[in-house]
Amino acid sequence: MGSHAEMKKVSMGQAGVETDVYDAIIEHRETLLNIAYSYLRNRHDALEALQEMTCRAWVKRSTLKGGRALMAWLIRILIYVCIDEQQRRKRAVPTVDEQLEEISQPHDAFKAFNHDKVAMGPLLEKVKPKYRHVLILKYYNDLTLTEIAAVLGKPEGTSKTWQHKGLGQLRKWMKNRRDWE
Amino acid sequence: MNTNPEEQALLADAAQLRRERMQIGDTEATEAIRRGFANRSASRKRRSCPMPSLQWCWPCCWVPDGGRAARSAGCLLCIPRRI
Repeated sequence: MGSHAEMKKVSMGQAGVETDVYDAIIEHRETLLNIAYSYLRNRHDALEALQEMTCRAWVKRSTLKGGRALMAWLIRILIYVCIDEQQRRKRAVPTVDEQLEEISQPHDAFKAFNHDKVAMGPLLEKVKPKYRHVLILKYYNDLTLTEIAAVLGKPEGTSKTWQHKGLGQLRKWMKNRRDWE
Repeated sequence: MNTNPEEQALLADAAQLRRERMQIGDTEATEAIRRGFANRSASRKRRSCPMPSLQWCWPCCWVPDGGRAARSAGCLLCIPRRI
């Protein structure tokens, strides 16, 4: 992820032409894919989210006001796409075949767990969404608190508070699960 | 240096996810973006759909020929619902 100055540089002032949005997405595809993957933890869904984000960004390009950072706007759209996908997963009822497959295979949470590594996916799901966004953007995508504040449209101090509250919630869940003594 | 166990766990998980993410090729990412950008024309067709009063007629814009046949014949997906 580039610096905050870099995020500002790619502003809508330059992206008046449609193709500039496309160029910006292509330029930052790695960062965007990282964010999608950290939310969805699945190759297919991450690529699907990237595709949907591109389409939504183009459709909504007129809502982007001049001077606002394009990159922060793109990340915000991507987060909404990922949230939509997570909601869809919760609503989806597994078919009989999927249920049988799940019974025959160990659950993801247990599959991912070993003594060296704590399975964080299910734990992060329990953290309050606004805190989770800060944790994912900071620890999984190396965004600074200033950049996170720009993405979430909140003051930097609020992002910092949410980071600490999120870590606090995570600590509580991990202690409950006795991931460490 | 992060000393909190929860921060260490997050960073370890992030490193693991990053390794997994690296398996996705650059071409695949570019292709996904290209597909998303190609779909933008569908939104334009959606607005110019001949049956805007039917909320569900927009999928006709996604038929392989770009929706031309569906639009000229009426929406193939919506006609059964109208009946």
